[in-house]
Amino acid sequence: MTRIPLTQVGQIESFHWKLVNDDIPSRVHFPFAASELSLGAAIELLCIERHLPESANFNLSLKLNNSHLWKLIKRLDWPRCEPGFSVRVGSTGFMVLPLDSSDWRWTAFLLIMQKALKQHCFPEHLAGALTGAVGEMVDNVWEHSETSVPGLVAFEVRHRRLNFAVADLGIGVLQSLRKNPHYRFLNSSMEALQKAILKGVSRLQGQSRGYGFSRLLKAVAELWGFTRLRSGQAVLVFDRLTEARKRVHKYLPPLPGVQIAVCCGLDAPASF
Amino acid sequence: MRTIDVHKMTDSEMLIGRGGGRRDFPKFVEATFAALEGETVLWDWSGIRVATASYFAAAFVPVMKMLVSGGLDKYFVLHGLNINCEDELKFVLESEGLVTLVADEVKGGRVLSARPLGKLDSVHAETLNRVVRKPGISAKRLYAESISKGRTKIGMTAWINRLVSLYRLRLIKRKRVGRQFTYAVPYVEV
Repeated sequence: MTRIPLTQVGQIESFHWKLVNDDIPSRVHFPFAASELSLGAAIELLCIERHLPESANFNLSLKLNNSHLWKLIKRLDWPRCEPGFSVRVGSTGFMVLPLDSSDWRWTAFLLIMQKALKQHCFPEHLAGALTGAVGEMVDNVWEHSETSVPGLVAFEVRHRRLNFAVADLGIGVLQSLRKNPHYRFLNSSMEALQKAILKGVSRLQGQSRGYGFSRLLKAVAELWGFTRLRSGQAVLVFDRLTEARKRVHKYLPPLPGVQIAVCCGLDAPASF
Repeated sequence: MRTIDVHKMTDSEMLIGRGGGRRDFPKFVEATFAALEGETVLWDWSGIRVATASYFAAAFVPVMKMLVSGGLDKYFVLHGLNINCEDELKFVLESEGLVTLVADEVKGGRVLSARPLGKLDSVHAETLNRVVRKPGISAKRLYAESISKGRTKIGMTAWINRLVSLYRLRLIKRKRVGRQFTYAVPYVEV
């Protein structure tokens, strides 16, 4: 049994490289207290595990402590499970996405999230902006992922901080944008991600499109935290903690779909 | 003026994403077509907690474009948008080069004051202000007033052009009186 401590999304990257290079045995145990693992890292790990071929016989064994979120994640056998959500009012929520936005559970989930933000001292307008940003990211899953595998969304609010993650195992930003003749020249996931965050850039042609990512970044820009966008082999990080609006570009082992992790708060923390 | 409660119409407090916008677009169209020619629709957004840019772009902006393209002689005034919703709508309107009126004060279904939201240059904003102050004003009278104030550089044609632009944006409505048009904001009866 190999023990690998992972607490931040950034550490998932080295873990994923080791995994594709077969440096990690088939059974891995994560011996951290669940509360130490960030939400984005947890969701990304889940995507990596689900993407591995059956033959890899990789067993993601998670040590559960009293973290409500981990229990929710473990209980749902994503992506084979039915859409549904589970929440702890005022703090956490986890949802396997329904087929479209008309599902009442989706609206309920967002209302619960907005209420949790207000309970944790987020001003009304920020609670609305952040709830809207999560909604936009999930809408992107429905609009662009082109997969029958349901997406995931999760949030965690505590101590004036919000973590949320949205993930899918669809076609990813590069394949999606290439469907628009204007962007068929794109060569890499990194180029595609950098395009996708610009206002007005979308797979679909015509005006009135491509607002999602730019609104997400605007909502988070008012707070202390970072936004991580992963698609294909690329990662874009906007980190306000280390340097205002600093962008970090990275290349990683391929992973289908898009994984978004946001960790932000009203106060500047000592560390993430 | 007819008031449309957006919350009741859409049956949701959370109006999010392009998908949701596409779903609700027919409802906005239906409500707009139900208004009479020349009538003002007061959209009441007060029951909406969150509405995002993509939603506005898919559900509401296409209807606004129908008005601006000249197909419909109907006018919109929006009311009850929270700070966040207004910010999202403003973002889309500025991207699309559109403007709408947002009511600041509404009493008994009547709009007492409103302001433009979106991309409106200072020249047109100033003209709109004059129309707000003097409902039923004509280009001839605006020209006469500008001469009396010593601002002779603005010719009659320029005033006509400004008023027609505002009318095309459906920010003001017009009425033929004899050989000229008089203009007023859509929430004021002349």
